[in-house]
Amino acid sequence: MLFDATAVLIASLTVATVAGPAVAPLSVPAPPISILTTPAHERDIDLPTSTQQGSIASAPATPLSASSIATITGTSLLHALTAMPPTAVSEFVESNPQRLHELLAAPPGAPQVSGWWAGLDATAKRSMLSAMPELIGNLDGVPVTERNDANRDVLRSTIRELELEGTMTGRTLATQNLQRLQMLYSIADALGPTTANPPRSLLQLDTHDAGKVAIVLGDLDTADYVSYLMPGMFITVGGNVVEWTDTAARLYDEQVSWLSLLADAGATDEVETVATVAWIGYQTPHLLNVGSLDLAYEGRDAIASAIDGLQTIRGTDQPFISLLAHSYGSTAALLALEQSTSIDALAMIGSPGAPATSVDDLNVRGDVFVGEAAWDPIPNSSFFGSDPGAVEFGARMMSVAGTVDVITNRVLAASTGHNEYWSPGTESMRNLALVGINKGELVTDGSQRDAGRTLALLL
Amino acid sequence: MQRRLVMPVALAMVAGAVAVVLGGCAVQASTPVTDLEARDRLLAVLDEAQRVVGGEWTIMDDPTPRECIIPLWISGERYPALRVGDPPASVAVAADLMERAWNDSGMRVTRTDIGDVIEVKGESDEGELVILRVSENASTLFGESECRPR
Repeated sequence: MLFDATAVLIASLTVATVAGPAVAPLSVPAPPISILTTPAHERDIDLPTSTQQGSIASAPATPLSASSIATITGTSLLHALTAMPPTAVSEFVESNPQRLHELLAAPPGAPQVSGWWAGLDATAKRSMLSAMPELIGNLDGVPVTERNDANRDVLRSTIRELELEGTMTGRTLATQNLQRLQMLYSIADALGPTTANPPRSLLQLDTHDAGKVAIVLGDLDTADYVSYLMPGMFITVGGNVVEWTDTAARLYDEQVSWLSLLADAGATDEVETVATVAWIGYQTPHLLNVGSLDLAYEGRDAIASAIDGLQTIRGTDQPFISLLAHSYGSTAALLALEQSTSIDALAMIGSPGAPATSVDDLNVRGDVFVGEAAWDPIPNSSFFGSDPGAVEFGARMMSVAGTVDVITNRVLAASTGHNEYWSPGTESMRNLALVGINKGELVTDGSQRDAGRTLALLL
Repeated sequence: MQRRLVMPVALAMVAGAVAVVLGGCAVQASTPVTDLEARDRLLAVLDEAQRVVGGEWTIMDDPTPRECIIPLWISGERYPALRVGDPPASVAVAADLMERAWNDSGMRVTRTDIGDVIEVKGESDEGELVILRVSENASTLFGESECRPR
C-alpha cells in the first residue's frame, strides 16, 4: 500500500513539476520580513487604537481575594475576577498567567460567557478589557467589536514589547522571540489597513508558541452568510496567515460577485451580505504528528466553540453557516459535526476522512459536499476511517476538474494535487463560494446535469 | 504501520515538489510603474466606466491587495475594485457604450448575456481586468489591477 501510494505520488509530482500548477499553491511561504532593521513604527503597521486605555472600573460588590479564587474555574472565575478591584485583577493576571491560559484552554460555554458579559456595566467591561485583553479577546460569546479591540491591543503591545526587548538589550532577539515577532508582523500584514473594505476584525489571537488566529472579513454581527475556512496540515500562523486571509478575501469577493449577480438578475429581492473567516484556530499537524487524531480533536473543540460563539452573539438572527474544510481540517470538522455543533453546509476538499461513516452522522442541516482533485493522494485514502467521497457516505460530489461556467461563460481552471483547491479562478473556488451562500443547486458535479445548472433554477 | 506513513510521506513530497517548482524564478514587473500607480490606473478605468454608464455609484474599492500569479508561477499581488450603481436608463445602450469605449481603448472585450443581465468584460495588455454587469435592477463594476510581483 505504501509503495502504491508513493508511486502515484511520484507520478503526480512529475506531472506537476513539468506542467506547473495552474496557479500557485497555498503552501508557498510568504517572503520573510526583515525584523530588526524595520521596526513597526517604520513599517507602517496600521493597527487602530481601541478606546479601552486608561479605564478605571468601580469594584462590584463582594470582592474575593486572590487566594480565595485559586481553585475557581470557568464562569465562576470570570465572575470572581469581575468582583475584584481593577488593580487586584491586574496583579492577579500578572502573577497567575497560567490561570488565564487554563481558562482559555477550557473556556465556559459561549452562552455563559455572553450572559456574564451582558451583565457587566460599561465601566466593568472597560476594566476587564484593560486588565485582561488576552482573555476577553479569545472568549467566544463576547461581542466581535470588543474582541477585535482587545486582540488588536494585544498584538500592538506584544510587538512593541518584543521590539523594545531587542533595543534595550542591544542584542539581537533570541531566535524564539524573533520567530514570534515575525508571526505577529504577519498577522498585522494580514489585517491590512484600517480602511480595508470589507473591514477585517481580529476575532482570535494567541501570540504564544505556534499561535492561533481568526480574521473576519465582513460583519459577523449582520452577515447573511458566514463561511469558515478550516485549514489542514502545514498551515501555520507565522507562515500562512497572510495567504490564508487572502484566500478568505478571494472567497468573499467571489461570494459578493455571485450575490450581486443574483440580485441584478432579480433572483433575490436585495443584495445579501457575507462574512468569511480566515480561521487558524488550532495547531495544525506537521509530518511527525499527522498520523494521529490528537490535533483533530483540538480542532474539533476549537471550531465547535467558535461556531457556538457566533450562534450565541447572533441570537434570533442566525446566519447561514458553512464550514469549508481542507485536508486534516476536514477531519476535525467531521469530528465536531458528529457532536453537538450544527451548521448549514459543509464542503470537504482533499479529505483523509474521519470516524463518521455517513452524512447522517453529521449535524448539517443542508448539503455536504466533497471535492477530490486529480493527483491528490489524500482523498480515497480513508486514512482516519471513512472516505467522504465514497457513495455510501452520502455526500454530494463537487467538481474541481475545471470547466466553463454555464452561467458566466468564465473559464474555470482545474485543481491538481493537494494544494490547489483554494486557487483563484478554479472551479473549486467557484463551487466553495456557492456552497457558502446556500446555492448548492448551482454547484457543479462534473456530470451532464451541469449544463442545466443555470440561473433559471433560482428564478 | 505502513498506513500511518502514507499521508506524511505523501504530503512531504507534495510540499517538496511545490518548493522545487517555485524555486529560481526571477521576479520581473509587468510594466514600469509602481504598485500604487498600477492601482490608480485601474481606478481611472472604472471612474471612466461609471461616467459612461451614468447614474449614482457607491465606491467599495478595497485597498488591500489580493494574491495573484504572474507567468512562471511568480507570486504577485493585485488590487481589487467594486462599485455598485443605479440601473442604467437602457441596459442595452449602456452595454453598447461600454463595449465600444473599452474596445477603443485597446482592451480585449467579450460580451455575455446572463439571463436578464448583460456582462461586458475588458482585459488590457497589462493584465487589468474590468467587468461591467448591467440589468434593469442594478449596475455593478468589478476590476482587478495588473498582477505585480510581491
